[in-house]
Amino acid sequence: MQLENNYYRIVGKRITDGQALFRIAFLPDCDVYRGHFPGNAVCPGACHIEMLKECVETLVGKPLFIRTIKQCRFTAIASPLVCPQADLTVVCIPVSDGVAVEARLTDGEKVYMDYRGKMAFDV
Amino acid sequence: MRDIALEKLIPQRSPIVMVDGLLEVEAERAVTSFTVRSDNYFIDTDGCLAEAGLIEHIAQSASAFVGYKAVEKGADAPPVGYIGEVKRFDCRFRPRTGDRLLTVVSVMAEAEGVILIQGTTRTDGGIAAETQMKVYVKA
Repeated sequence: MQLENNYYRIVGKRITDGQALFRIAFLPDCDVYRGHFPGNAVCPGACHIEMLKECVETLVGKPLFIRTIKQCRFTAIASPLVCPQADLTVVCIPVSDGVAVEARLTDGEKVYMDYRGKMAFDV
Repeated sequence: MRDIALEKLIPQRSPIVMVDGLLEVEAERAVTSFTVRSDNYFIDTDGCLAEAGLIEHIAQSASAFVGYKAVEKGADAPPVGYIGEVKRFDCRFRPRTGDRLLTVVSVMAEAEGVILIQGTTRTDGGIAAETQMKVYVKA
């Protein structure tokens, strides 16, 4: 499913030289927290990855397929309660059939996700 | 192996349960299953399971494996696991609604509270995805 406006909302977007910054609000009422985990809302790392893909799709204007992830580290546990908003910084470099993506999800000094991988145009 | 209800093996609940069976357990290897349904949380508009859904499925497969071992040792509730790292994830295709995923999880290293696994997910169409993953486990 589309996670935008369900799991997260984009409250700001700024594109500068080769870098995009999305200001993300996590939506505490999202259904996913009923099961992840009952009584202990934790943002699923997999949802952060899907959110990143959706954000990159808005940058390239095409559907994408996560072909490979070289490395994606989750360095802190995020939850909509302790981290209502965060910054997703994305650098995309065009490659033959898609984009190489480097991204970070941060809140001030705190890093939640550090991602490097390749997304292919989904044909 | 003992037949244990899945709710005792993993802490995730609807709508984000991504494993429906633990089929085999050995010392350092387990096999899980999952049938992709149209109401799955990670289903894309084209009826395919998103890549992130495969990642969550592999993570929960590792979690079910860890949960089984914990129950064997007498735990009442399954340990909560968090993905610490996804490495060398390679996705060949996105499974479709109705596909049955079969996933082999092999333990590469294990330390107090951390497990490093290799996971490979197949459908009738072959290998859909494989990855290494580090999972933090909290009893």
